[in-house]
Amino acid sequence: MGKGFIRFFAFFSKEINEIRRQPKLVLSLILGPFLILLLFGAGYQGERPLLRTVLVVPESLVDTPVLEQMTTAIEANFQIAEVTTDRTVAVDQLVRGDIEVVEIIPDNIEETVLAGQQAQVEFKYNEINPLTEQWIQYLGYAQVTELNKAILRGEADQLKQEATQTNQELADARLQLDALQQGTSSADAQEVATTARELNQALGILAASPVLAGQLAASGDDPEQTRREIEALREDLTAIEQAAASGNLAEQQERIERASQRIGELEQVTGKLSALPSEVIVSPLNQTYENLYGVAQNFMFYYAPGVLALIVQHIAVTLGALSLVRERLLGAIEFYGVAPVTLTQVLAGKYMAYTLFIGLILTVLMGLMLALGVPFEGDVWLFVGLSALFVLASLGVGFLISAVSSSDSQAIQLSMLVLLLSIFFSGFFLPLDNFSPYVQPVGYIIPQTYGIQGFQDVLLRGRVPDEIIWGALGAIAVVSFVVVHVVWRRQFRRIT
Amino acid sequence: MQASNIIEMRDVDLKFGGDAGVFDLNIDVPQGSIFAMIGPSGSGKTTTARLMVGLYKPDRGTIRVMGCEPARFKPHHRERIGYMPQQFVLYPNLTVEENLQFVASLYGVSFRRRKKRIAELLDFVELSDARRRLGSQLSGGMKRRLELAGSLLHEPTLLFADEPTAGIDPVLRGKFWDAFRDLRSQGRTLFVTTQYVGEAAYCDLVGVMRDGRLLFIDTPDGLRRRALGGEVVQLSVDPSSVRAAARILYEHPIVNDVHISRGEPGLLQAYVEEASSALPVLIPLFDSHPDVTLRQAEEFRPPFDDIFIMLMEKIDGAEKARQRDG
Repeated sequence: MGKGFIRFFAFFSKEINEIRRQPKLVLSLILGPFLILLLFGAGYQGERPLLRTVLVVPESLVDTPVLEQMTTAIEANFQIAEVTTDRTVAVDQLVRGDIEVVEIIPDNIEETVLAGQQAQVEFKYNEINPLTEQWIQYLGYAQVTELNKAILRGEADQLKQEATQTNQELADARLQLDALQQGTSSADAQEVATTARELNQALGILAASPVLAGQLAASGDDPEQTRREIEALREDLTAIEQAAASGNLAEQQERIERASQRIGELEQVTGKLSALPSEVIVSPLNQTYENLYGVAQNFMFYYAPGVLALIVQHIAVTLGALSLVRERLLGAIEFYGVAPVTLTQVLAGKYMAYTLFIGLILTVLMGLMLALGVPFEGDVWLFVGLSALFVLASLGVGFLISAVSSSDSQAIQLSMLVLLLSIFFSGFFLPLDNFSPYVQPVGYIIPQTYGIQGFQDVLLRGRVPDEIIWGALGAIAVVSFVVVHVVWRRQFRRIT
Repeated sequence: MQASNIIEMRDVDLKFGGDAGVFDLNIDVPQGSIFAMIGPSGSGKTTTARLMVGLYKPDRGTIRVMGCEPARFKPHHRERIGYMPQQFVLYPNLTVEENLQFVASLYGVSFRRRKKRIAELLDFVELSDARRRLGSQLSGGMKRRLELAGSLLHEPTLLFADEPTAGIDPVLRGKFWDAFRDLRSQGRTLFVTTQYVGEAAYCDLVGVMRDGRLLFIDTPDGLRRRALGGEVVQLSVDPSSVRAAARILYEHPIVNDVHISRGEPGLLQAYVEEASSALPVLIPLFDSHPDVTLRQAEEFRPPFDDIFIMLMEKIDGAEKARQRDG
């Protein structure tokens, strides 16, 4: 037992001594990653791309207030480099790469719409970057939606004016009908016929308005029911108009009473409609947001745990990958093969030494990050435990590389591959869910995938990471240790 | 005699493919002896040593070291073995003392004991002044000395040293052999491989290998006899009477053969069974021949390099004769 400890300690102290003999390496392992983190934090803005855009407009829009309103709306999403009427010149600029987008506003929008067709706003771009293409299409969609809303807002204003006018006409008509019904009207039959006809026409316009239907639907009323009421009223008014013209109004008392009631109900609807703000008519639905976390972190702080995990994993994988290969290239394995030391003692000593060393680096990095303001919401010991498990899992991957590498350059190359895999498949930049189910398992075997989540949980959310994180890191650590042990056991006492 | 052998190899083969490997090895190494395995580069010396320490597993035959098959060594067997590989395997980023600390830990030497032991060994290999120097800053000879110290730290019963003197100067080589003989006098056994044929003289037994085969094992004197067909008495006479002197010697029954030197006039060599007993017989022969003036007579011991060349020539000759006859 005593000798076993001494042998285990042999590798522990040997590795520590070797590492401390390389102060430049230690410094670069600490300062290098920190500077990368700092550069990333200071430089990454996470904003949408700046899209220089030439706006092509029809001659009829030039120097009009409409164009001014339009450019103001467009500039919310695109940086307008120039407004022109020459489509060819704009496209040439796009082909040359001087600009990113050409936006072409169609001529005769109103006529096209009145003809029952949608007017097309064209967006032209020349992109190989799928992300930029997605941004252009999304921003184009958002912008056209805004333009549509602006147009609808105008229409809504006009409808409101008509509704107000109709409301007034309804009130007049109801008064006349009430007077007729009570037999106290001084109005002659011709006047009643004229009022009924005008009201009938106004109701026709109102019934055909889609905005009214939308508003009624949004307010919970049944637009079809209202439309039927209007149609029924129009029939009554037609009958009253004809009766007034033929001098038979006295025979239409029941219809006059019913029309008066319907007018009263419609008055309420049109009264409500004219009182509504146009914004509500155009966009009946709005949204509110609540982040239970409070305020989301800035990009630097959000990515800090991921960068920390990436750095720690890369150091651990590289140290592990080079460690056993170096021993083999140095010929030390031949020496160990004769000595009374076991492979478990060799590996345990190396695991211990590297964990301690990386722990030291992690502590310094964490200190520097705290100095930059990165939050540490969770429990320190929880962080220590998670880090230790994460480092052990990463070292396991490194030793695994070492076991299958025949030279240090091969070990370095494989370590770089693990780094690349980690950047793409660990959820560092792209969420793992974005990948197909066939590819996602790649992320599941990378310690970084769990390191990012765990560090974010502890540092940013202040909560205990899910059991799956502990379990996965533990599984990677154990499986890699066992595989390394099996692979190396064959080489350890034998020269192959 | 069998019981005192610390290493026994019987009919051992290990093939690496083609003609490479070692074949039909039969070796006994007595306890408390120095056994040197001599042969040119690639002859199979290192492979033989690695078979003995268990780094290679034989394809055929049996090996027993300290009574145990190397593949089944237990920690207590390994603790009794010292191993000095051919290549420098200690760490360039550790100091001399740290390297020795590491090896001491590997062998489970207690912290209390190792301090004294390291100091002793550093004195022994004359590296005390370089104890804080990094491995990467050591000369080739210093590295070999450091390795020797590393292999002796745990006071092994059996030391395997694979070409310990390769690439180091003659003075240091002499010191290494002094150390080895000192260890033997302490009752330890040493199995040493070397390309320096002259070092055979320091050993108790010498095995000669070529092309993966063990040609023979013998004592240094035994090798000499094999090469020379006995021992040599060298005589110096007046150059004009050298032929007469040769005839006198040749006619005596204890003389097997006589060679006249072509390079040095008046010098001739008589091949006898035993030089020490032949000299008192041969010197008086010339008293009855006044025409021959004997100037000097002594036992002649040619260097082992010459012995080795003679042996190889003999083996080549025998091989050619066998091919011719076959």
